Amino acid sequence: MLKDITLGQFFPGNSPLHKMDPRMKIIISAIFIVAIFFAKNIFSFALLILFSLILTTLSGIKHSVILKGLKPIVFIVVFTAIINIFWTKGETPLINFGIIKIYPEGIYTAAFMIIRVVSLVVGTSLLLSYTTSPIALTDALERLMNPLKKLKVPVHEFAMMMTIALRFIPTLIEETEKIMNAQKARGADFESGNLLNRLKALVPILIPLFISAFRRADELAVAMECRCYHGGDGRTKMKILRFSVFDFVWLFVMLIFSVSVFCLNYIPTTIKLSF
Amino acid sequence: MSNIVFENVSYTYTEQPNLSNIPFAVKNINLTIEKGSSVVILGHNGSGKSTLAKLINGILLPTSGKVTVNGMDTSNQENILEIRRTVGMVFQNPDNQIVATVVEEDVAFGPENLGVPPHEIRSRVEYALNAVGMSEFRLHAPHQLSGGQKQRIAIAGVIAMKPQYIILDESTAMLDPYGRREILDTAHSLNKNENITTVLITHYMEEAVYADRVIVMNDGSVVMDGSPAYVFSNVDKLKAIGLDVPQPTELLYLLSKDGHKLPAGIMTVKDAADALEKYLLKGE
Ligand SMILES: Nc1ncnc2c1ncn2[C@@H]1O[C@H](COP(=O)(O)OP(=O)(O)O)[C@@H](O)[C@H]1O
Ligand SMILES: [Mg+2]
Repeated sequence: MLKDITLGQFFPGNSPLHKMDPRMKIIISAIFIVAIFFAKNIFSFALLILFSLILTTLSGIKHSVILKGLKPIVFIVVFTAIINIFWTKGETPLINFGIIKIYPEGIYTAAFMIIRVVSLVVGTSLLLSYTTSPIALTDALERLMNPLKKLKVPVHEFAMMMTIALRFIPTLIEETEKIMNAQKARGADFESGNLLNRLKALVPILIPLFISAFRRADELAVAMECRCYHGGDGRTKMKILRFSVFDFVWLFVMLIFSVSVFCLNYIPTTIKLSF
Repeated sequence: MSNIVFENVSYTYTEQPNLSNIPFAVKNINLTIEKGSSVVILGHNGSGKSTLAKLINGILLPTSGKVTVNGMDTSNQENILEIRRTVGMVFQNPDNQIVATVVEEDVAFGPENLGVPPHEIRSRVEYALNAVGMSEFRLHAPHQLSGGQKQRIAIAGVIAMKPQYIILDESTAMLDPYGRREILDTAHSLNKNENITTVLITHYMEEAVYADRVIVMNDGSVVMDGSPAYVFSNVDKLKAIGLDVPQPTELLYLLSKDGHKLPAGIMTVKDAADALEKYLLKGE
Protein backbone atom coordinates (compact mmCIF):
# COMPACT_ATOMS: atom_id res chain seq x y z
CA MET A 1 0.00 0.00 0.00
CA LEU A 2 0.87 3.65 -0.38
CA LYS A 3 1.38 3.90 3.37
CA ASP A 4 4.51 1.81 3.18
CA ILE A 5 6.14 4.58 1.23
CA THR A 6 8.20 5.54 4.31
CA LEU A 7 10.06 2.32 4.07
CA GLY A 8 11.11 3.52 0.64
CA GLN A 9 12.65 0.54 -1.04
CA PHE A 10 13.90 -0.96 2.19
CA PHE A 11 13.80 -4.76 2.48
CA PRO A 12 14.60 -5.78 6.07
CA GLY A 13 17.10 -8.61 6.28
CA ASN A 14 20.20 -9.97 7.86
CA SER A 15 22.76 -9.94 5.08
CA PRO A 16 26.31 -8.57 5.42
CA LEU A 17 25.06 -5.46 3.63
CA HIS A 18 22.22 -5.00 6.10
CA LYS A 19 24.64 -5.31 8.98
CA MET A 20 27.01 -2.68 7.72
CA ASP A 21 27.02 0.60 9.66
CA PRO A 22 24.91 3.08 7.66
CA ARG A 23 27.69 5.66 7.89
CA MET A 24 30.07 3.19 6.26
CA LYS A 25 27.49 2.54 3.57
CA ILE A 26 27.45 6.23 2.70
CA ILE A 27 31.26 6.39 2.64
CA ILE A 28 31.52 3.23 0.54
CA SER A 29 28.87 4.46 -1.90
CA ALA A 30 30.81 7.67 -2.37
CA ILE A 31 34.02 5.73 -3.12
CA PHE A 32 32.10 3.45 -5.49
CA ILE A 33 30.72 6.40 -7.44
CA VAL A 34 34.18 7.89 -7.82
CA ALA A 35 35.57 4.51 -8.96
CA ILE A 36 32.82 4.23 -11.58
CA PHE A 37 33.87 7.50 -13.11
CA PHE A 38 37.51 6.48 -13.19
CA ALA A 39 36.81 3.27 -15.12
CA LYS A 40 38.05 3.72 -18.66
CA ASN A 41 38.75 0.41 -20.34
CA ILE A 42 37.29 -3.04 -20.78
CA PHE A 43 39.15 -4.52 -17.78
CA SER A 44 38.06 -1.90 -15.33
CA PHE A 45 34.51 -2.16 -16.60
CA ALA A 46 34.64 -5.93 -16.16
CA LEU A 47 35.66 -5.35 -12.55
CA LEU A 48 32.72 -2.96 -12.10
CA ILE A 49 30.33 -5.64 -13.30
CA LEU A 50 31.94 -8.22 -11.09
CA PHE A 51 31.71 -5.98 -8.05
CA SER A 52 28.05 -5.14 -8.69
CA LEU A 53 27.27 -8.84 -9.03
CA ILE A 54 29.04 -9.60 -5.76
CA LEU A 55 27.11 -6.86 -3.97
CA THR A 56 23.84 -8.20 -5.40
CA THR A 57 24.59 -11.72 -4.26
CA LEU A 58 25.67 -10.65 -0.78
CA SER A 59 22.59 -8.48 -0.25
CA GLY A 60 20.17 -11.38 -0.74
CA ILE A 61 17.84 -9.00 -2.59
CA LYS A 62 15.85 -10.71 -5.33
CA HIS A 63 17.06 -10.07 -8.88
CA SER A 64 13.53 -9.22 -9.97
CA VAL A 65 13.51 -6.39 -7.43
CA ILE A 66 16.77 -5.02 -8.74
CA LEU A 67 15.59 -5.21 -12.34
CA LYS A 68 12.40 -3.40 -11.38
CA GLY A 69 14.53 -0.70 -9.81
CA LEU A 70 16.22 -0.18 -13.16
CA LYS A 71 12.94 0.48 -14.94
CA PRO A 72 12.86 4.25 -14.46
CA ILE A 73 16.26 4.64 -16.15
CA VAL A 74 15.59 2.35 -19.13
CA PHE A 75 14.45 5.17 -21.38
CA ILE A 76 17.35 7.50 -20.70
CA VAL A 77 19.88 4.67 -21.00
CA VAL A 78 18.50 3.45 -24.32
CA PHE A 79 18.25 6.98 -25.64
CA THR A 80 21.86 7.89 -24.82
CA ALA A 81 23.05 4.51 -26.09
CA ILE A 82 21.43 5.14 -29.48
CA ILE A 83 22.89 8.62 -29.68
CA ASN A 84 26.31 7.22 -28.86
CA ILE A 85 26.04 4.47 -31.46
CA PHE A 86 25.08 6.82 -34.29
CA TRP A 87 27.09 9.85 -33.44
CA THR A 88 30.44 8.44 -32.37
CA LYS A 89 32.95 8.66 -35.19
CA GLY A 90 35.75 6.11 -35.58
CA GLU A 91 38.17 4.96 -38.24
CA THR A 92 36.57 2.07 -40.11
CA PRO A 93 32.77 1.86 -40.10
CA LEU A 94 31.23 -1.49 -39.16
CA ILE A 95 28.07 -0.81 -41.09
CA ASN A 96 27.87 1.74 -43.84
CA PHE A 97 24.54 2.95 -45.23
CA GLY A 98 25.84 6.08 -46.84
CA ILE A 99 24.77 8.77 -44.40
CA ILE A 100 24.41 6.40 -41.48
CA LYS A 101 27.72 4.95 -40.42
CA ILE A 102 28.10 2.80 -37.33
CA TYR A 103 31.60 2.46 -35.98
CA PRO A 104 32.74 -0.17 -33.45
CA GLU A 105 33.87 2.68 -31.22
CA GLY A 106 30.26 3.85 -31.01
CA ILE A 107 29.10 0.45 -29.88
CA TYR A 108 31.81 0.22 -27.24
CA THR A 109 31.07 3.68 -25.95
CA ALA A 110 27.36 2.86 -25.70
CA ALA A 111 28.06 -0.43 -23.94
CA PHE A 112 30.39 1.17 -21.42
CA MET A 113 27.94 3.97 -20.78
CA ILE A 114 25.23 1.41 -20.04
CA ILE A 115 27.51 -0.48 -17.66
CA ARG A 116 28.39 2.73 -15.89
CA VAL A 117 24.84 3.89 -15.31
CA VAL A 118 23.52 0.45 -14.41
CA SER A 119 26.28 -0.31 -11.92
CA LEU A 120 25.88 3.16 -10.43
CA VAL A 121 22.16 2.65 -9.86
CA VAL A 122 22.47 -0.97 -8.71
CA GLY A 123 25.37 -0.29 -6.37
CA THR A 124 23.96 2.79 -4.66
CA SER A 125 20.44 1.46 -4.36
CA LEU A 126 21.72 -1.81 -2.90
CA LEU A 127 23.80 0.02 -0.34
CA LEU A 128 21.61 3.01 0.50
CA SER A 129 18.07 2.01 -0.25
CA TYR A 130 17.36 -1.74 -0.42
CA THR A 131 19.36 -2.62 2.69
CA THR A 132 19.09 0.62 4.71
CA SER A 133 15.94 2.09 6.23
CA PRO A 134 15.43 5.80 5.52
CA ILE A 135 15.59 6.51 9.23
CA ALA A 136 18.98 4.80 9.60
CA LEU A 137 20.16 6.79 6.61
CA THR A 138 18.97 10.09 8.10
CA ASP A 139 20.66 9.23 11.36
CA ALA A 140 23.91 8.31 9.61
CA LEU A 141 23.85 11.51 7.56
CA GLU A 142 23.36 13.58 10.70
CA ARG A 143 26.35 11.96 12.35
CA LEU A 144 28.59 12.19 9.28
CA MET A 145 27.72 15.87 8.85
CA ASN A 146 28.26 16.61 12.54
CA PRO A 147 31.55 18.47 11.96
CA LEU A 148 29.65 20.94 9.76
CA LYS A 149 27.84 22.17 12.87
CA LYS A 150 30.97 24.17 13.61
CA LEU A 151 30.33 26.04 10.35
CA LYS A 152 26.80 26.83 11.62
CA VAL A 153 25.17 24.37 9.23
CA PRO A 154 21.87 23.36 10.90
CA VAL A 155 22.60 19.64 10.64
CA HIS A 156 20.43 18.57 13.56
CA GLU A 157 17.49 20.62 12.35
CA PHE A 158 17.64 19.09 8.87
CA ALA A 159 17.78 15.59 10.32
CA MET A 160 14.82 16.39 12.60
CA MET A 161 12.85 17.69 9.62
CA MET A 162 13.61 14.52 7.67
CA THR A 163 12.53 12.33 10.57
CA ILE A 164 9.28 14.22 11.06
CA ALA A 165 8.57 14.15 7.33
CA LEU A 166 9.10 10.39 7.26
CA ARG A 167 6.92 10.02 10.35
CA PHE A 168 4.03 12.03 8.88
CA ILE A 169 3.97 10.78 5.29
CA PRO A 170 1.80 7.75 6.13
CA THR A 171 -0.47 9.87 8.33
CA LEU A 172 -1.01 12.46 5.62
CA ILE A 173 -1.55 9.84 2.93
CA GLU A 174 -4.20 8.23 5.10
CA GLU A 175 -5.78 11.61 5.60
CA THR A 176 -5.76 12.37 1.87
CA GLU A 177 -7.58 9.11 1.24
CA LYS A 178 -10.17 9.98 3.89
CA ILE A 179 -10.77 13.43 2.43
CA MET A 180 -11.02 12.02 -1.11
CA ASN A 181 -13.55 9.47 0.02
CA ALA A 182 -15.51 12.13 1.88
CA GLN A 183 -15.57 14.32 -1.23
CA LYS A 184 -16.49 11.39 -3.45
CA ALA A 185 -19.38 10.61 -1.12
CA ARG A 186 -20.56 14.15 -1.79
CA GLY A 187 -20.42 13.51 -5.50
CA ALA A 188 -16.98 14.87 -6.35
CA ASP A 189 -15.48 13.44 -9.52
CA PHE A 190 -11.71 13.16 -9.76
CA GLU A 191 -11.42 10.85 -12.73
CA SER A 192 -13.13 12.50 -15.66
CA GLY A 193 -12.99 15.80 -17.49
CA ASN A 194 -10.06 17.62 -19.02
CA LEU A 195 -6.86 18.48 -17.21
CA LEU A 196 -8.16 21.84 -15.97
CA ASN A 197 -11.28 20.24 -14.49
CA ARG A 198 -9.25 17.58 -12.79
CA LEU A 199 -6.91 20.14 -11.29
CA LYS A 200 -9.92 22.08 -10.07
CA ALA A 201 -11.26 18.92 -8.47
CA LEU A 202 -8.06 18.73 -6.41
CA VAL A 203 -8.72 22.04 -4.67
CA PRO A 204 -11.32 20.65 -2.24
CA ILE A 205 -8.78 17.98 -1.28
CA LEU A 206 -5.76 20.18 -0.90
CA ILE A 207 -7.38 22.88 1.20
CA PRO A 208 -8.59 20.60 4.02
CA LEU A 209 -5.31 18.70 3.80
CA PHE A 210 -3.26 21.86 4.24
CA ILE A 211 -5.39 23.17 7.07
CA SER A 212 -5.06 19.89 8.88
CA ALA A 213 -1.33 19.70 8.23
CA PHE A 214 -0.85 23.13 9.78
CA ARG A 215 -2.93 22.15 12.80
CA ARG A 216 -0.87 19.00 13.17
CA ALA A 217 2.36 20.96 12.93
CA ASP A 218 1.13 23.30 15.64
CA GLU A 219 0.13 20.50 18.00
CA LEU A 220 3.31 18.56 17.31
CA ALA A 221 5.43 21.59 18.14
CA VAL A 222 3.69 21.97 21.50
CA ALA A 223 3.97 18.23 22.19
CA MET A 224 7.70 18.36 21.39
CA GLU A 225 8.20 21.32 23.70
CA CYS A 226 6.36 19.47 26.45
CA ARG A 227 8.88 16.67 26.01
CA CYS A 228 11.71 19.11 26.66
CA TYR A 229 12.77 19.53 23.04
CA HIS A 230 15.01 22.58 22.76
CA GLY A 231 17.03 21.97 19.63
CA GLY A 232 20.15 19.89 19.22
CA ASP A 233 22.17 21.39 22.09
CA GLY A 234 22.94 18.96 24.88
CA ARG A 235 20.94 16.26 23.17
CA THR A 236 22.03 12.63 23.45
CA LYS A 237 20.96 9.63 21.41
CA MET A 238 19.73 6.27 22.59
CA LYS A 239 21.25 4.42 19.68
CA ILE A 240 25.02 4.40 19.60
CA LEU A 241 26.49 3.73 16.18
CA ARG A 242 29.76 1.85 16.41
CA PHE A 243 31.91 0.77 13.50
CA SER A 244 32.62 -2.94 13.71
CA VAL A 245 35.63 -4.81 12.34
CA PHE A 246 33.50 -5.80 9.35
CA ASP A 247 32.86 -2.17 8.48
CA PHE A 248 36.59 -1.66 8.16
CA VAL A 249 36.92 -4.85 6.14
CA TRP A 250 34.34 -3.38 3.78
CA LEU A 251 36.23 -0.13 3.60
CA PHE A 252 39.44 -2.01 2.87
CA VAL A 253 37.80 -4.09 0.12
CA MET A 254 36.33 -0.95 -1.37
CA LEU A 255 39.69 0.81 -1.42
CA ILE A 256 41.35 -2.18 -3.06
CA PHE A 257 38.54 -2.23 -5.58
CA SER A 258 38.98 1.41 -6.52
CA VAL A 259 42.73 1.14 -6.74
CA SER A 260 42.30 -1.90 -9.01
CA VAL A 261 39.89 -0.02 -11.23
CA PHE A 262 42.42 2.75 -11.46
CA CYS A 263 45.32 0.41 -12.29
CA LEU A 264 43.39 -1.72 -14.76
CA ASN A 265 42.91 1.42 -16.82
CA TYR A 266 46.59 1.24 -17.69
CA ILE A 267 46.41 -2.18 -19.31
CA PRO A 268 46.67 -1.39 -23.02
CA THR A 269 43.70 -2.46 -25.14
CA THR A 270 42.93 -2.13 -28.82
CA ILE A 271 39.50 -0.67 -28.12
CA LYS A 272 39.48 3.07 -28.44
CA LEU A 273 36.88 5.06 -26.60
CA SER A 274 35.65 8.50 -27.34
CA PHE A 275 35.99 9.61 -23.72
CA MET B 1 7.51 21.36 48.36
CA SER B 2 5.96 18.67 46.21
CA ASN B 3 2.88 20.15 44.71
CA ILE B 4 1.50 22.31 41.93
CA VAL B 5 0.24 25.68 43.11
CA PHE B 6 -1.84 28.27 41.27
CA GLU B 7 -1.86 31.64 42.99
CA ASN B 8 -4.56 33.91 41.65
CA VAL B 9 -3.80 32.96 38.06
CA SER B 10 -5.52 34.53 35.06
CA TYR B 11 -4.72 34.01 31.42
CA THR B 12 -5.93 35.63 28.22
CA TYR B 13 -5.06 34.75 24.64
CA THR B 14 -5.70 38.33 23.49
CA GLU B 15 -2.63 40.37 22.85
CA GLN B 16 -4.02 43.78 23.78
CA PRO B 17 -4.25 43.64 27.56
CA ASN B 18 -5.38 47.26 27.72
CA LEU B 19 -8.77 46.43 26.23
CA SER B 20 -11.58 47.11 28.66
CA ASN B 21 -13.29 43.74 28.61
CA ILE B 22 -10.71 41.07 28.00
CA PRO B 23 -11.91 37.51 27.42
CA PHE B 24 -10.01 35.53 30.04
CA ALA B 25 -9.55 31.85 29.20
CA VAL B 26 -9.00 31.21 32.90
CA LYS B 27 -9.46 33.74 35.67
CA ASN B 28 -8.48 34.04 39.32
CA ILE B 29 -7.54 30.42 39.78
CA ASN B 30 -6.31 29.38 43.21
CA LEU B 31 -5.51 25.72 43.33
CA THR B 32 -3.12 23.28 44.92
CA ILE B 33 -2.58 19.81 43.49
CA GLU B 34 -0.88 17.53 46.01
CA LYS B 35 1.70 15.02 44.93
CA GLY B 36 0.46 11.43 44.76
CA SER B 37 -3.21 12.23 44.28
CA SER B 38 -5.36 11.46 41.27
CA VAL B 39 -7.30 14.47 40.10
CA VAL B 40 -9.96 14.76 37.43
CA ILE B 41 -10.81 18.09 35.83
CA LEU B 42 -14.27 18.31 34.31
CA GLY B 43 -15.81 21.05 32.23
CA HIS B 44 -17.48 21.54 28.89
CA ASN B 45 -15.69 22.72 25.75
CA GLY B 46 -14.02 26.08 26.13
CA SER B 47 -14.22 26.11 29.92
CA GLY B 48 -10.45 26.60 30.16
CA LYS B 49 -9.22 23.09 30.96
CA SER B 50 -6.48 22.95 28.32
CA THR B 51 -5.38 26.47 29.16
CA LEU B 52 -5.06 25.43 32.80
CA ALA B 53 -3.01 22.39 31.79
CA LYS B 54 -0.65 24.40 29.58
CA LEU B 55 -0.12 26.89 32.39
CA ILE B 56 1.18 24.09 34.61
CA ASN B 57 4.19 23.19 32.45
CA GLY B 58 4.96 26.64 31.16
CA ILE B 59 3.70 26.25 27.59
CA LEU B 60 1.59 29.28 28.54
CA LEU B 61 2.70 31.81 31.13
CA PRO B 62 0.12 33.48 33.37
CA THR B 63 -1.08 36.93 32.32
CA SER B 64 -1.31 37.61 36.04
CA GLY B 65 -0.64 35.50 39.11
CA LYS B 66 1.90 32.75 39.61
CA VAL B 67 2.16 29.03 38.92
CA THR B 68 4.74 26.92 40.76
CA VAL B 69 5.66 23.27 40.35
CA ASN B 70 7.48 21.84 43.37
CA GLY B 71 8.30 25.42 44.25
CA MET B 72 9.69 26.29 40.80
CA ASP B 73 8.08 29.31 39.17
CA THR B 74 7.01 28.55 35.58
CA SER B 75 7.77 32.09 34.46
CA ASN B 76 11.45 31.63 35.25
CA GLN B 77 12.96 30.39 31.99
CA GLU B 78 15.73 28.56 33.85
CA ASN B 79 13.21 26.23 35.46
CA ILE B 80 11.38 25.35 32.30
CA LEU B 81 13.15 22.10 31.33
CA GLU B 82 13.02 20.79 34.88
CA ILE B 83 9.32 21.68 35.11
CA ARG B 84 8.52 19.95 31.83
CA ARG B 85 10.48 16.91 32.95
CA THR B 86 8.55 16.85 36.22
CA VAL B 87 5.14 17.41 34.63
CA GLY B 88 4.51 15.16 31.65
CA MET B 89 1.68 15.99 29.28
CA VAL B 90 -0.33 13.78 26.94
CA PHE B 91 -2.71 15.35 24.45
CA GLN B 92 -5.85 14.43 22.61
CA ASN B 93 -4.68 13.44 19.15
CA PRO B 94 -2.23 10.53 19.39
CA ASP B 95 -0.96 11.14 15.87
CA ASN B 96 0.17 14.67 16.58
CA GLN B 97 2.48 13.88 19.48
CA ILE B 98 4.51 10.98 18.17
CA VAL B 99 7.75 12.24 16.66
CA ALA B 100 9.74 9.21 15.53
CA THR B 101 9.07 6.47 13.00
CA VAL B 102 9.81 3.65 15.42
CA VAL B 103 8.05 3.16 18.77
CA GLU B 104 11.18 2.82 20.92
CA GLU B 105 12.80 5.83 19.28
CA ASP B 106 9.77 7.90 20.09
CA VAL B 107 9.80 6.85 23.73
CA ALA B 108 13.49 7.81 23.81
CA PHE B 109 12.78 11.32 22.49
CA GLY B 110 12.22 12.96 25.91
CA PRO B 111 15.29 11.49 27.66
CA GLU B 112 17.38 12.29 24.56
CA ASN B 113 16.33 15.93 24.84
CA LEU B 114 17.36 15.89 28.49
CA GLY B 115 20.82 14.61 27.61
CA VAL B 116 20.48 11.33 29.49
CA PRO B 117 23.38 8.95 28.71
CA PRO B 118 22.55 6.35 25.99
CA HIS B 119 22.61 3.21 28.15
CA GLU B 120 20.31 4.82 30.68
CA ILE B 121 17.91 5.92 27.94
CA ARG B 122 17.78 2.31 26.80
CA SER B 123 16.80 1.07 30.26
CA ARG B 124 14.28 3.89 30.76
CA VAL B 125 12.65 3.05 27.42
CA GLU B 126 12.34 -0.58 28.41
CA TYR B 127 10.93 0.37 31.77
CA ALA B 128 8.44 2.85 30.28
CA LEU B 129 7.21 0.48 27.57
CA ASN B 130 6.78 -2.16 30.22
CA ALA B 131 4.80 0.19 32.45
CA VAL B 132 2.25 0.77 29.68
CA GLY B 133 2.30 -2.85 28.51
CA MET B 134 3.70 -2.10 25.05
CA SER B 135 7.10 -3.84 25.18
CA GLU B 136 6.31 -6.21 22.34
CA PHE B 137 5.60 -3.27 20.00
CA ARG B 138 9.06 -1.79 20.54
CA LEU B 139 10.05 -1.94 16.89
CA HIS B 140 6.70 -1.17 15.28
CA ALA B 141 5.96 1.93 13.23
CA PRO B 142 3.42 4.24 14.91
CA HIS B 143 0.98 4.05 12.01
CA GLN B 144 0.67 0.31 12.52
CA LEU B 145 -0.84 0.82 16.00
CA SER B 146 -4.42 1.41 17.17
CA GLY B 147 -5.42 4.73 18.72
CA GLY B 148 -5.27 3.34 22.26
CA GLN B 149 -1.85 1.83 21.62
CA LYS B 150 -0.55 5.11 20.20
CA GLN B 151 -1.77 6.93 23.31
CA ARG B 152 -0.01 4.39 25.50
CA ILE B 153 3.19 5.06 23.55
CA ALA B 154 2.70 8.77 24.17
CA ILE B 155 2.33 8.00 27.89
CA ALA B 156 5.46 5.84 27.78
CA GLY B 157 7.30 8.76 26.18
CA VAL B 158 6.35 10.84 29.20
CA ILE B 159 7.18 8.12 31.76
CA ALA B 160 10.68 7.78 30.28
CA MET B 161 11.36 11.31 31.54
CA LYS B 162 10.62 10.08 35.10
CA PRO B 163 7.92 12.66 35.84
CA GLN B 164 6.16 13.19 39.16
CA TYR B 165 2.97 14.41 37.52
CA ILE B 166 1.22 13.34 34.33
CA ILE B 167 -1.51 15.45 32.77
CA LEU B 168 -3.78 13.72 30.27
CA ASP B 169 -5.65 16.42 28.36
CA GLU B 170 -8.68 14.66 26.89
CA SER B 171 -6.39 11.82 25.92
CA THR B 172 -9.33 9.44 25.69
CA ALA B 173 -11.55 11.69 23.59
CA MET B 174 -10.58 10.24 20.21
CA LEU B 175 -10.58 6.62 21.32
CA ASP B 176 -13.17 3.87 21.18
CA PRO B 177 -14.47 2.46 24.50
CA TYR B 178 -11.79 -0.22 24.50
CA GLY B 179 -9.00 2.32 23.90
CA ARG B 180 -10.43 4.52 26.65
CA ARG B 181 -10.33 1.63 29.06
CA GLU B 182 -6.66 0.97 28.13
CA ILE B 183 -5.68 4.55 28.91
CA LEU B 184 -7.71 4.83 32.12
CA ASP B 185 -6.26 1.57 33.44
CA THR B 186 -2.76 2.73 32.55
CA ALA B 187 -3.28 6.07 34.32
CA HIS B 188 -4.75 4.30 37.33
CA SER B 189 -1.83 1.91 37.62
CA LEU B 190 0.70 4.74 37.26
CA ASN B 191 -0.95 6.54 40.13
CA LYS B 192 -1.22 3.50 42.39
CA ASN B 193 1.99 1.63 41.52
CA GLU B 194 4.44 4.33 40.50
CA ASN B 195 3.06 7.02 42.80
CA ILE B 196 2.74 9.46 39.91
CA THR B 197 0.20 12.24 40.38
CA THR B 198 -2.32 12.00 37.55
CA VAL B 199 -4.42 14.89 36.34
CA LEU B 200 -7.09 13.60 34.01
CA ILE B 201 -8.90 16.20 31.93
CA THR B 202 -12.08 14.85 30.42
CA HIS B 203 -15.71 15.37 29.74
CA TYR B 204 -16.64 11.75 30.30
CA MET B 205 -18.21 11.74 33.77
CA GLU B 206 -17.55 8.04 34.31
CA GLU B 207 -13.82 8.74 34.28
CA ALA B 208 -14.20 10.95 37.34
CA VAL B 209 -15.73 8.28 39.54
CA TYR B 210 -12.51 6.70 40.76
CA ALA B 211 -10.51 9.89 41.26
CA ASP B 212 -9.43 11.20 44.67
CA ARG B 213 -10.60 14.63 43.73
CA VAL B 214 -12.78 16.22 41.06
CA ILE B 215 -12.38 19.82 39.94
CA VAL B 216 -15.18 21.29 37.85
CA MET B 217 -14.47 24.26 35.62
CA ASN B 218 -16.88 26.60 33.97
CA ASP B 219 -16.13 29.74 32.02
CA GLY B 220 -12.50 29.87 33.15
CA SER B 221 -13.19 29.43 36.87
CA VAL B 222 -13.24 26.54 39.29
CA VAL B 223 -16.86 26.10 40.30
CA MET B 224 -16.65 22.87 42.30
CA ASP B 225 -13.81 21.07 43.95
CA GLY B 226 -14.03 17.98 46.12
CA SER B 227 -14.44 14.23 46.27
CA PRO B 228 -16.36 12.58 43.41
CA ALA B 229 -19.19 11.78 45.83
CA TYR B 230 -19.44 15.44 46.83
CA VAL B 231 -19.34 16.75 43.27
CA PHE B 232 -21.86 14.27 41.93
CA SER B 233 -24.29 14.89 44.74
CA ASN B 234 -24.79 18.36 43.27
CA VAL B 235 -26.61 17.17 40.16
CA ASP B 236 -28.55 20.41 39.73
CA LYS B 237 -25.44 22.51 39.76
CA LEU B 238 -23.67 20.26 37.24
CA LYS B 239 -26.65 20.31 34.93
CA ALA B 240 -26.84 24.08 35.16
CA ILE B 241 -23.38 24.37 33.64
CA GLY B 242 -24.15 21.84 30.93
CA LEU B 243 -22.48 18.76 32.36
CA ASP B 244 -23.93 15.28 32.64
CA VAL B 245 -23.61 12.94 35.57
CA PRO B 246 -22.89 9.19 35.49
CA GLN B 247 -25.98 7.16 34.62
CA PRO B 248 -26.48 5.56 38.09
CA THR B 249 -26.26 9.02 39.67
CA GLU B 250 -28.78 10.32 37.17
CA LEU B 251 -31.20 7.47 37.91
CA LEU B 252 -31.14 7.98 41.68
CA TYR B 253 -31.37 11.74 41.20
CA LEU B 254 -34.52 11.43 39.09
CA LEU B 255 -36.06 8.99 41.58
CA SER B 256 -35.37 11.26 44.53
CA LYS B 257 -36.86 14.17 42.64
CA ASP B 258 -40.04 12.08 42.44
CA GLY B 259 -40.09 11.89 46.21
CA HIS B 260 -38.25 8.62 46.83
CA LYS B 261 -35.79 8.89 49.68
CA LEU B 262 -32.54 7.80 48.07
CA PRO B 263 -28.98 8.90 48.90
CA ALA B 264 -27.21 11.40 46.62
CA GLY B 265 -23.65 11.09 45.30
CA ILE B 266 -23.85 7.45 44.24
CA MET B 267 -21.79 6.83 41.12
CA THR B 268 -21.44 3.15 40.30
CA VAL B 269 -24.02 0.65 39.09
CA LYS B 270 -23.30 -1.61 42.06
CA ASP B 271 -23.81 1.09 44.68
CA ALA B 272 -26.97 2.22 42.94
CA ALA B 273 -28.32 -1.32 42.89
CA ASP B 274 -27.50 -1.76 46.59
CA ALA B 275 -29.18 1.52 47.49
CA LEU B 276 -32.30 0.61 45.51
CA GLU B 277 -32.43 -2.86 47.04
CA LYS B 278 -32.22 -1.43 50.54
CA TYR B 279 -34.88 1.13 49.72
CA LEU B 280 -37.26 -1.43 48.22
CA LEU B 281 -36.79 -3.93 51.07
CA LYS B 282 -37.70 -1.23 53.58
CA GLY B 283 -40.92 -1.07 51.60
CA GLU B 284 -41.55 2.60 52.01
N1 LIG C 1 -4.94 29.44 20.84
C1 LIG C 1 -6.01 30.13 21.25
N2 LIG C 1 -6.19 31.39 20.82
C2 LIG C 1 -7.26 32.13 21.24
N3 LIG C 1 -8.19 31.67 22.08
C3 LIG C 1 -8.08 30.43 22.55
C4 LIG C 1 -6.98 29.58 22.16
N4 LIG C 1 -7.11 28.39 22.77
C5 LIG C 1 -8.24 28.47 23.51
N5 LIG C 1 -8.83 29.68 23.39
C6 LIG C 1 -10.05 30.14 24.07
O1 LIG C 1 -9.84 30.01 25.46
C7 LIG C 1 -10.97 29.47 26.08
C8 LIG C 1 -10.61 28.22 26.86
O2 LIG C 1 -10.18 27.23 25.95
P1 LIG C 1 -9.57 25.84 26.37
O3 LIG C 1 -8.63 26.06 27.49
O4 LIG C 1 -9.05 25.19 25.15
O5 LIG C 1 -10.85 25.06 26.91
P2 LIG C 1 -11.13 23.50 27.03
O6 LIG C 1 -9.84 22.79 26.97
O7 LIG C 1 -11.83 23.37 28.35
O8 LIG C 1 -12.04 23.13 25.91
C9 LIG C 1 -12.00 29.24 25.00
O9 LIG C 1 -12.90 30.32 25.01
C10 LIG C 1 -11.19 29.22 23.74
O10 LIG C 1 -11.95 29.73 22.68
MG1 LIG D 1 -9.19 21.26 25.64
